Amino acid sequence: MSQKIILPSTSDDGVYTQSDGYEYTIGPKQSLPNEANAIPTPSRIYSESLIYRKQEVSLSAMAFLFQEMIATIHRASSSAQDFETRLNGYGYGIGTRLVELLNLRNSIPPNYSKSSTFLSNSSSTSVNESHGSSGTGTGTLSSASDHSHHYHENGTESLAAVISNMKPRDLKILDILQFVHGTMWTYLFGCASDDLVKSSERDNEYMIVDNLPVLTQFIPAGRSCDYFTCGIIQGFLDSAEFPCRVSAHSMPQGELDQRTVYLIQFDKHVLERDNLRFGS
Amino acid sequence: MSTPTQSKSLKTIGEDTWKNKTEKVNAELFTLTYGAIVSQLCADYDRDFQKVNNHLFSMGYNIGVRLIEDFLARTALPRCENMVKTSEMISKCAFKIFLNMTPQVTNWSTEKDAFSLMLEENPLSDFVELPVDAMKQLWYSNVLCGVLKGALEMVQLDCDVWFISDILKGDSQTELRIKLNKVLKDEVPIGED
Amino acid sequence: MTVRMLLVINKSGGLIYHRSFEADVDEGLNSNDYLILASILHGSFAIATQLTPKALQLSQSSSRNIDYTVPYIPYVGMPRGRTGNERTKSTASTSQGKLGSFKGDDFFKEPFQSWNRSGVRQLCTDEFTMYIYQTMTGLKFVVVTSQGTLSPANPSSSNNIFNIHVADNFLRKIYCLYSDYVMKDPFYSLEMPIKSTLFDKQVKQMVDNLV
Repeated sequence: MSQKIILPSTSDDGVYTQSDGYEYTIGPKQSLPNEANAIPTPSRIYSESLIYRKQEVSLSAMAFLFQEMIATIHRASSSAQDFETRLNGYGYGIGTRLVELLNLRNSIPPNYSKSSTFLSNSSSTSVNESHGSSGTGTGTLSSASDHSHHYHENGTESLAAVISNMKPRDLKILDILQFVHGTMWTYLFGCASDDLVKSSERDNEYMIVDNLPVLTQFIPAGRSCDYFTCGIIQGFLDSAEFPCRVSAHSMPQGELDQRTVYLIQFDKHVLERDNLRFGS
Repeated sequence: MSTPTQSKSLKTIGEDTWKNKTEKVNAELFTLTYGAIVSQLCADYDRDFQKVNNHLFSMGYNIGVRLIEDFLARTALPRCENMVKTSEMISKCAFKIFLNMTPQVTNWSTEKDAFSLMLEENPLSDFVELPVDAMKQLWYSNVLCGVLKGALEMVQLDCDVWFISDILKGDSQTELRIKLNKVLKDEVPIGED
Repeated sequence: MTVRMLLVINKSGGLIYHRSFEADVDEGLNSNDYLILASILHGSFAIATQLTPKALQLSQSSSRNIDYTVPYIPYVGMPRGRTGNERTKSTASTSQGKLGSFKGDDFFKEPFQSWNRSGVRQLCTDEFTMYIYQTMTGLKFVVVTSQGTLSPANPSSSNNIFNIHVADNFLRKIYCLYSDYVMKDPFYSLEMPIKSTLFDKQVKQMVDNLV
């Protein structure tokens, strides 16, 4: 099996890896930095997907897909609780992916944008990028001096070269919740959530408030379809080592009759850790 | 046939509707959600990809019969008089408005009743690489075929829709085929002509 | 000048939504009567398409240039503050001002073609006026108003074609609401009665805005 080497300057067909697939029990093929000159380079997908390209689909397309997903899960569920658990599971897998992804994207310097070879997709103009000419955006970076090191075989830049200062994952309960309420919510739904509240009754409980949930805004109250979002939150917090349970509650307030509160209940040891590390 | 108010091209209508009349969401949320659905199906059907294809198609069909109402309410465009017009409507308006893409229409049959859509970008399968065992059988984006089948049926066009090739399977391009079986004349709403 | 009733009839003539906006309208009619009413309406709509006078048919086929365009009439059924010049964002409409999956401050802003060409578009009696909007998928949206016009701008109903156009604008917006709050509801079964409280609420709001 010979791997095709991708020439990024060609358009359309050549852009995509002629993948042979991967063995799902093992996972995608790995390529360590020190074997950068070994022939099997990782598919372009792995580097491309790391940088955020602002792409959108219609809310309708999303709502229809969501609607059909709910209907499918609902048909397969034996009880309301079963339904919520299954729906939660769909979101969970998404949440776990976001911890690393969003942190990494947050670490990319803001001036690293359109000029990047990552972002030039097939339709845009073909910049000659095959020989690592430092004329593109990376030239401004301090580490650009030995740029030969930063390019893979296939000509795409290594993301490691772009990030000079990797932001650490948040370790404090409040910080990670701020991240969910702000960064993650903005990534998913286009704006920060409407509120982040600490429970006055229990130490381990926090609430994220959404006045009009994007995904469920067309679905009348009754069965809670917001468990998908619960799953995303829980997947995110769990894989950031803040194990918790998340539930959704419809709590209308005045005009806002679709207002939804996500209740986050952290495991006890998360609080103990927080106290040990940051407590007074 | 020239209708006076049809001076705007379908391309302009599609772009204008996408830009000014349509709320949007992050395409990655869409990609991730679809990915969650497909991978769950693969697990549920114990990696019997033929069954996964069928299930994705039927999910698409259920979406299509609903989605058409959104499209019609949003655009209120008149009925297409032939398949050439229909193909443009699908490519320049429907795909544009829902997924912000404009697949190229090509490979017409001689009877002008079948054509292909070339999907150069596809928000459903962004960042996807198929596992070895799925490469041969799984049509990852098969939901699209179902959507088109369902939506066209609701405007009285009985069509077959299927994938011919997919970049994810190692093909050089992603080609989706639409073939008109017949116009369901009896079902055209009375009062339309 | 009020909206008395709104009906949605599916392509087979089944009544899937019925809502009265006046207390006394319901007197003497039960839900079964409404089903029959919808079915009769569906049938007579079909019959009416065959009743076009011969002279008119001839003139139609010879000229072939009948204009089925419905002009866009701004902000029909939209919140008050939006009509006229002062279209400032009022405090109440910051989150309420969103139109579901439709962007902007009105559902559409272009003239459009009516799909209902040979069917009944308006039915006038001494008691009420009825307007019918039919979609390409065969759905019928029906509004019954007390005498005269839907438009507050033109209460004299002197210009009848204008009334029909207002009704078409209004009913297309109900269709937009239907595409959001009925079609995107996973617990709605196609062709069945609509029970969505959200659709109810949105329809009520739009009707209230008309007055």
